[in-house]
Amino acid sequence: MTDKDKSNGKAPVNKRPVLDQNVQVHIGRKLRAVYEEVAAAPIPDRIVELLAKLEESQRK
Amino acid sequence: MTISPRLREELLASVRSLRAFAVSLCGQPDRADDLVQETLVKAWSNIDSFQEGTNLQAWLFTILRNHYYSEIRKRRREVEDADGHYASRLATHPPQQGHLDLADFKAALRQLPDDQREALVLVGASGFSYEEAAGICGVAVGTIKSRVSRARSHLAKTLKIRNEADIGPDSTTEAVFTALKQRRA
Repeated sequence: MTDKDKSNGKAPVNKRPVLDQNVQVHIGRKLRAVYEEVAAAPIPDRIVELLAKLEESQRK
Repeated sequence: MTISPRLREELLASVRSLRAFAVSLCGQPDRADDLVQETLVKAWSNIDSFQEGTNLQAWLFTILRNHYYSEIRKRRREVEDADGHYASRLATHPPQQGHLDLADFKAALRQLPDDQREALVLVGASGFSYEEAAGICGVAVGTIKSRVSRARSHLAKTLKIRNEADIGPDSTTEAVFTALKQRRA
């Protein structure tokens, strides 16, 4: 508590520093935004075509 | 070889996250799509070894990951024998196009050691549990937990974010999330 006062509102220094909860949430959001940029994009034609071929081979 | 309609649906649904995971592994969209294609072919021809009812997505991610690392080992051997330039090419992935405010984050992500980045992505973005991620990477659950934690600290340090004040307004990310929620609803 006194640590907190002394360091002007900053989190006290622990032996094992744990990331601020907000920082963790922030990193999680950025990470998912980067991931979704690819995941939300249309599936490229060559993959769609491959899937069609694989399905075709199953029917034979 | 027969694939039930339900399994087929699940396979198709996994393609999007497989692509995103592949990009996070190799950093190159074209190479990532090669990986996804090779994974789908392998999965299709080995579908009999998959136990329906278990986690198909985890099974596919495991195939993709194993394939990626075995290719890396193979290429490294081949190219290092030839001229030794491969390692330096690996270190300079071409920058990806995207939202400007995600560019710094992407760069920081690419700087992470491979094992930390994949653990963080599997747990933080692909939605796997620590246990599932451990299964995919073939390591202990504790190892995954520690890699995720080190990855987060590493990113926070690289991006110089220590607390809320460093984060600032984040409209683009918020917009992405709102859009995603609407899409899922």
